[in-house]
Amino acid sequence: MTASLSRITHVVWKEFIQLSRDRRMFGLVLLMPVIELIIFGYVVATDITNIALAVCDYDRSASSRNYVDHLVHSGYFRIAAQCHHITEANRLLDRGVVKVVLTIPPDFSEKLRRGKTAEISALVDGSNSNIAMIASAYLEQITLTRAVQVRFPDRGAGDRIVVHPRVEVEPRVWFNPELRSVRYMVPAILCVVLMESLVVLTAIAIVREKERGTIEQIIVTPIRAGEFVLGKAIPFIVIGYINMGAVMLAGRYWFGVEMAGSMSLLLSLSLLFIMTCLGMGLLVSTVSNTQQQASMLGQFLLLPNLFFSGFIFPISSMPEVIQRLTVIVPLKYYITIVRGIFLKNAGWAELWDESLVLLAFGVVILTAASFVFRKEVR
Amino acid sequence: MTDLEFAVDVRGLTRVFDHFVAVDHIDLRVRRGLVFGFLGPNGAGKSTTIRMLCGILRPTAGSGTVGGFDLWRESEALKSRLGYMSQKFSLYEDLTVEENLQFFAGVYNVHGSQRRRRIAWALEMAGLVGREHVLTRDLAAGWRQRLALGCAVLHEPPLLFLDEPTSGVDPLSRRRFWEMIAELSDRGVTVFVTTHYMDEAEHCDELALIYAGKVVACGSPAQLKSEHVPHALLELTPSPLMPAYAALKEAPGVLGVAIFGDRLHVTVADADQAKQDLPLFLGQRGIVVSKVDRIEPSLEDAFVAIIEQSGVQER
Ligand SMILES: Nc1ncnc2c1ncn2[C@@H]1O[C@H](COP(=O)(O)OP(=O)(O)O)[C@@H](O)[C@H]1O
Ligand SMILES: [Mg+2]
Repeated sequence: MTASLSRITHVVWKEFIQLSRDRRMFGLVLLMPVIELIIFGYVVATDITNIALAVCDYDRSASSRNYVDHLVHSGYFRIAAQCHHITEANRLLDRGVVKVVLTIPPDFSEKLRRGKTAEISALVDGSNSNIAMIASAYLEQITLTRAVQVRFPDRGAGDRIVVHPRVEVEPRVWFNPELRSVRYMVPAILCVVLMESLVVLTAIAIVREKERGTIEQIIVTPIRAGEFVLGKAIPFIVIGYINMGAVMLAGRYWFGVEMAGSMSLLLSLSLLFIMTCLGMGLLVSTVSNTQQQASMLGQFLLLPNLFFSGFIFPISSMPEVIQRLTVIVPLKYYITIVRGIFLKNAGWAELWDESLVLLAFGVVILTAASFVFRKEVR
Repeated sequence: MTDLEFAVDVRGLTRVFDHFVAVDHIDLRVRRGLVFGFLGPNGAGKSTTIRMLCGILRPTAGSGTVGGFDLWRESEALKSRLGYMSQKFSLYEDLTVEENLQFFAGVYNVHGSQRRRRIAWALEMAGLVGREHVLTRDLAAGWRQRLALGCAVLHEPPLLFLDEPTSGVDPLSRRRFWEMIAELSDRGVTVFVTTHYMDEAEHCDELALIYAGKVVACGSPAQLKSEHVPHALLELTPSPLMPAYAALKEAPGVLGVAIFGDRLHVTVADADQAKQDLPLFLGQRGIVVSKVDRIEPSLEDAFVAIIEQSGVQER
């Protein structure tokens, strides 16, 4: 056991020295994530706050007031007017005093009480299409967030609120169709950064030994395949975590996005995803003979993860067949977990199912990869 | 391993790549404590054999023991008992001399005072004292090979496999390397070394010749020469060379002709007779012979004779 640990430590030590000698690579590995965050961040940095809102509350109940408070607390809306009648509110909208008119019907609290779907209508000023889209997207998001919160407490199951924002504007922006704000991007980039450093860099590091022939010298030593792979992977796990930290800091100080949930939960659930990534990196390394092949193949494996995880395109807007296929995309579960922790302070109770799926992925992929790797080494 | 008679004892060792038989049912017995030379031209199957013996490559067929460990079942246990230097330089070029030594000591489970002692010894032996902090890629070929040997024996293995350790190295470094091999052998290490240099083969206690995947002869250098070159050998320096080579093949009393640089080695039944006849024979064909000597057969002559006698086809 101690002998095994010592051998692993030697590989880790060697790997860090080699990494530090390769200045270009080292710089790239550490700077890429933050650069990525800033690029992606600016692409989606369409955050607009303080959108003027007119509320027309026909229900005047605790529930409806609670709901409006919630919107205001999100920081995106401010109440410019409380109207008693819809015509009054519409006049404000026409004059451009408010951007959104929210109408809460008289049966709002009654429906909630009976466990039915309460409908709210939102009329959005379409003259500035950008603001219109953002406002409606926020309404949607905040409502969903709230639905999660109100589902569990004292009023029992069944509470759901759905907003039908009647948006008259159509243009959708290609790079950010769901209008996810930078708040949604920071946690997702965190995931992608971790995946990149683990899959591609680990694969390259292992293939480099094949390409240069140094693996021959390793095979004849008493070190076991698993020890060697672990020793090669640990530096990249560390780098992955450092990069996560960098993205978090950049997210915090550059974009003002702060994590709501628990750091220790984030780090420990990340380990599940790390297993999957290592398995993928190992598989890539067994089928590649050159570092270039490994790099290309690794990037290639990342693509479906980027496309079908909800990182770039929202899953809900995909064709149904593809939506069903996304169940085999590991990054999807990890992004859900990280967004949950990051944005909603989600805990084990909300995340256990995704975590179990990730664990299963990790075990299967890592086992398969170790099997193939061990076979290939001889 | 101390009570072992054969450090390597394998039968029927075979490796097939796709449909190409790289190593074809070879039997090898290496007596413990010897310097055993594995001799053969490029592509003969030397590296493939050595890689199977070290447990890097799985044999297609064969059985036996290496270092007393079963070839199939105990290759893991063997690893701490053998040293291996591959044909291609395989230390980390972006680590320094010292870092390579430290790393390999670590993965070979050499720790503490033993590690300090062994690293100091390796640096001394390889003549690398004072160069501990030089990056390995900046070392000349000769130094690298010595460092590679040093790394391969940090854990004091009783059995050492060296695959063409001196290819691409200058003659002085080659000699120095063979001195290191001799020193290790004096300490009781069994050395299995492949080479295609005939002069190096002369340093070995025993040899096996491999040709086109088959072992065609075994024995000490002296045995191989006396057994396979029973006839006398003449060395001629004719001009022009190739017509002389063609003509001599047809000459009376000539058993074989081989080209050695700008000279010909001619196997004859009667040396004294041929020494007189052959220059005349060639003279009649307009070929000038500047020098004729009777020589002792070299290993290369033996090798040429052995391959002709074996009937194994070149591939
Ligand atoms: N991995 C491999 N795949 C296919 N053919 C190989 C492989 N390794 C070696 N060979 C072939 O086997 C033959 C013997 O190679 P090798 O053992 O390296 O010869 P040597 O070391 O004597 O020069 C060569 O013809 C070589 O092309
Ligand atoms: Mg070879």
